[in-house]
Amino acid sequence: MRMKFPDLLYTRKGRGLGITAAVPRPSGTKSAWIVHRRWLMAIEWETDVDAGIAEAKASGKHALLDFSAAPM
Amino acid sequence: MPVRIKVREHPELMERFGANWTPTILVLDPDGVERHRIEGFLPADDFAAQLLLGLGHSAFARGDFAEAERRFDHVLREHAATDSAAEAQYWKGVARYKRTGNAGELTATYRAFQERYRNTTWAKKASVWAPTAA
Repeated sequence: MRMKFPDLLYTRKGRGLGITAAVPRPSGTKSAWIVHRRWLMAIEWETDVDAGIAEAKASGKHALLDFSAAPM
Repeated sequence: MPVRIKVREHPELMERFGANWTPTILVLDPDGVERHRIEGFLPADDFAAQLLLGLGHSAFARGDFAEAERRFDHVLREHAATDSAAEAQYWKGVARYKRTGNAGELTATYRAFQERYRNTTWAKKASVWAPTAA
């Protein structure tokens, strides 16, 4: 499954920072999000900035640019 | 569209986007215009609220005030305890005013700040919407 913004949630993982996927919790529960760590590796990161912006534009979606120095 | 930039490999992109610290997250609208910026680590709930704020600001900028209101309201409903909630309350009121043209929405927002998030910068900004004495 390819996760796309805004179905992303930034959280701490290990020593560095990681991005893990999240989805809204079913209605009737208190918390808004359930973190699905099993999806962590399912995120397909675009690493070419211009290609990512172009794809976002073509699909009418927002782009999330993550400037990170931490290894995933 | 998630784009990850490894700054050690591409330091020139830091300068291009004016990023001076990591982590920095930019929310770009479909035209590539920056609509929101998050600098520094945030806990998950706060980060999710910030992303929603970004989508709200993006909708506001394109004049989709109903969508902006929905996004800001989402922050208020689901992330009420975060620092972003006061900002969301402010912009929700502005979006409602822009959508309806009813200045009473701004007064209602002022009153909402008397109930929640009273000691915030956003409450100070909303203070100019206090009803005037007759």
